[in-house]
Amino acid sequence: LSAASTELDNTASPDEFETVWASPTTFPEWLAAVNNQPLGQRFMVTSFVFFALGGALALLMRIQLAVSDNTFLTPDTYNQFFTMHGATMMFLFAVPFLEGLALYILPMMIGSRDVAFPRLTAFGYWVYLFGGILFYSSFLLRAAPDVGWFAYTPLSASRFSGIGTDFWLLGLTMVEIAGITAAIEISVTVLKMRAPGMTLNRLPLFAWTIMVVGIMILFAFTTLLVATVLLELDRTIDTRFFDAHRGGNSLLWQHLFWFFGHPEVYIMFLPATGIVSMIVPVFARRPTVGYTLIAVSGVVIGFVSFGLWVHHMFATGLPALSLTLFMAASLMIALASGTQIFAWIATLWGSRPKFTVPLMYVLGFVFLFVLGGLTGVMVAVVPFDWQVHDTFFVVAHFHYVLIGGVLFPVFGGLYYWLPKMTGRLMNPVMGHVGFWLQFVGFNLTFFPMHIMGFLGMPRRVATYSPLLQIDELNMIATVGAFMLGVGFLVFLVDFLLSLWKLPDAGDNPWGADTLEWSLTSPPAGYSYRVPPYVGSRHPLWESGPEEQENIVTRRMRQALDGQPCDWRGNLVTDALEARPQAIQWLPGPSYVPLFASLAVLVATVAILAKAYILVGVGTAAVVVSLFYWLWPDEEVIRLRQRSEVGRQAGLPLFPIGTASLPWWGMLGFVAVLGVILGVLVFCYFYLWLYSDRWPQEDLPMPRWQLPGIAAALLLMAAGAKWWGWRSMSRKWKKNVQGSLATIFLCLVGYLGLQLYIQLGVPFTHRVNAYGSIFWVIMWYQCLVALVGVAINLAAQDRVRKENIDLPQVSPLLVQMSGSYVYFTAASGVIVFVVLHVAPYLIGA
Amino acid sequence: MEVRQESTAPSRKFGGLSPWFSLLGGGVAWTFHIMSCYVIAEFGCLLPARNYFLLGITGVAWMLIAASLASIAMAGAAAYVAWRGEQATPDIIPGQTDQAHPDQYIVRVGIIMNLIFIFIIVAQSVPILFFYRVC
Repeated sequence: LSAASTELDNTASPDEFETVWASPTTFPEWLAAVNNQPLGQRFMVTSFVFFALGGALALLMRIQLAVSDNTFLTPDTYNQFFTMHGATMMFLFAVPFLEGLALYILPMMIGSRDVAFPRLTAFGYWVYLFGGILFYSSFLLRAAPDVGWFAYTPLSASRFSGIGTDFWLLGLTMVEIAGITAAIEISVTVLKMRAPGMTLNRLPLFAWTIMVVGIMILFAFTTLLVATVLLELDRTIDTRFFDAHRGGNSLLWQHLFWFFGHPEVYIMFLPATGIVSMIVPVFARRPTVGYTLIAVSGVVIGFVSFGLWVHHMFATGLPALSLTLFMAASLMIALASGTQIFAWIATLWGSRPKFTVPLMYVLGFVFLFVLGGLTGVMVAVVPFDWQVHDTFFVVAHFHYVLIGGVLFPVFGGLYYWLPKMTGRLMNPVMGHVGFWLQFVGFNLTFFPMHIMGFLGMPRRVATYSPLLQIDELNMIATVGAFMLGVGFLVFLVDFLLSLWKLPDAGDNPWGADTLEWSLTSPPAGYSYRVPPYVGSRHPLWESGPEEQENIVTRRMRQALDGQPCDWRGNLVTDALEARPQAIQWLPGPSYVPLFASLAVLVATVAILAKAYILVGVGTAAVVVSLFYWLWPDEEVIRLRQRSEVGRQAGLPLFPIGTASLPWWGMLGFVAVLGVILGVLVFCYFYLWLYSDRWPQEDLPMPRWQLPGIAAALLLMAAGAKWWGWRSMSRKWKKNVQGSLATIFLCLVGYLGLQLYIQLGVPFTHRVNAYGSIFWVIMWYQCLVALVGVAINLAAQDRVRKENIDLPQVSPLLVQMSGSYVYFTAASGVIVFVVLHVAPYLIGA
Repeated sequence: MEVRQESTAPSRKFGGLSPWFSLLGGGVAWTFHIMSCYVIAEFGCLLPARNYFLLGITGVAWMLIAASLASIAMAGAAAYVAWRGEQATPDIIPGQTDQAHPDQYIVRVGIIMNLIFIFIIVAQSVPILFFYRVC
């Protein structure tokens, strides 16, 4: 690679190029940073702070459980601690850490200079940080949530729980937003920013898994987002979604929560398998056996993990038919997980592995995850699950899966990649000591819990009777927990010492095979001056990949050698074959993400304080920030228009369609909106199913005439979009303007009609669950249309300003606004049919 | 250095949506199967369909059988498209899957993945055999 790079003509101005990509050095710059490397590090460091807090809570709980009838913690405090511990580890540590690792490593691994949407990365980080702080600030008010990390209704309803649950709901809503932004970021980066030649069959397995996880998060986190918002609405403005007295349904919460909750396990587990797949071949010193099977298994897990949510509800009284269908589905996921385990064992089998610290963690992972997987198969069987449900057996099972299956690979990955991030090697002796402390401590802690569970020790209860005769087992578990904690401390000390006085790591201390190890340690902010070419699955192990490269691609890369040097540009390639498609502008440092996230925080805190005027102020500030964020920057457009790099590379600088990153961002946004609509429609029919009458109580049937006209307006807007895009491709500016104006009028007309209908219905959201779901779906659709109006206005403004014969941003804006109009129309028709037609078709 | 003078135009053996369908068709079929099974079991068992019998089998079970057959057919169609794609591309040299043309690799992955999904759908359908008279 380096040979290939030096052969290229270097016409760049290195100083300017490096300045454009410079990472922050001062505090104000630090606040405005958008580069993937500092932000990835911040995600990882912040998540480890939360990990330490969650771990401390766990140790306090183990002290409480060390002996029977202990009074070290009161039951209320114990409830708060297990809630905070679970929520911290699931929401504030595992997923953000893995996202941070991906944000840092992924671009280097796939040969990109940054991730797809740098400002979104910064926004995601700030929202995550503020959400986590908000969540933990509940301790300061002595109002920590105490309803479990699952917050089952009706326990979490306002009648039975205090403001702590609002902290849980609102803090985690912010974290969910961060998760969704990172998911869009990661998926688009893997699909569109791979180096030329990095086809799907050469994609590192970590990138495969993280791409699958990105798509999973879009569905899982969005579902949870809807659930938490609905519960918060129940608590603050008296909607009735989960209130059984007014037509709501408590089990609806469980369905929504576990539709997120089970994939969440695999959202954490899959990147961990990606880490394992990167470490095993390096230390086995041979290519991965069954690369394709591991990749396929990851995709299969990505799908099947969404079909297992009901196995968390085996004890809720669902029909036996449902239970058995989901039991079968739950057993099937072992097929894919087992395939991966066998592939790693096969890679190590017959090799002469180097038993370094990263590999030790991987071996520990294999042992522990197999145990956790086996107990997972056991609890997937309905009769067995009934026996151990809500006992410590389940606690043991999921800790084997989550600590064994996720945390051990995470530590392995840290020992593996930290030398790249810090430029320093870590002490192997301390690494081995830390590993064995963690491995032995973990098994001492959690293996006895299987037996305790069989003997009847319930989970989520602050103490137990001495008559159960499990004091010794509990004491062993507590000692093990402290040993585990010491193991983590050894890692921390090792890390700090490595920064202080341990030797330089060099560029590739492990003799690894993937692209990131071709860079300096630590790498430059831009990672690659010249986009690399990838001709093999192991680019650093197999020489001469440039010989496969065709001359056109080579010239494209040559043109990008240290270029562009007055704006941040990155090569975009196609999703399947990684052929160069365009040079995409990436934004530089900006305070807007920080302001936008602060505005989100203000609105959220205002909801907590019930200061509804301030909620409006915060929301308005969010909207203004987003407008400022998304509004095209004239200076940047001029720089791009003047740039020669596009002509030299033969690639567009103003790409449209699938060659454009914003187009993919819009696709992600529309996918999120689509999932929200899908979840709301599910809630509508679920509530209907368990109602004696629909609309509930004595509410009148909905009218369909005006809503029908409104839906027709949206279909007209969709038709106008088709006309506008056809005109855009023929450069007929007047027609494009006419089409945009027509779309605008249709959307505004639709909004007006929706508001008229909404305000005219003879009930409120408080009356019963039907009123609540009707109200929420109507407002959802109004918001969708309102965003459409905003995008349409932006497109109209650009078309008015620009000559559409020249390379400009208006074609992309017109295209994106049109795509959004299609979604708005589809969504509007679905809402019309569900709310206004279905009650007539199906009958009350 | 000798470099080959190739066009950057895609050299697709099968284009359009075929690669995506051959990759993801089985997964989409599985999604349809699990969701339809959930809806039919949860909703159907509360509706009169559980009391309708045809050939001694409840209306609910017939719906589940139909959903399962449709899902298997869809995953099978995806596997067939992938297999057709593989026929149209040269063989992959064993041990050199990373040197294969992307189309070759996609169809290979598609065949494996779709067969796995067919197996999973069939396995998930087994419980229907035990609940053909009751919910």
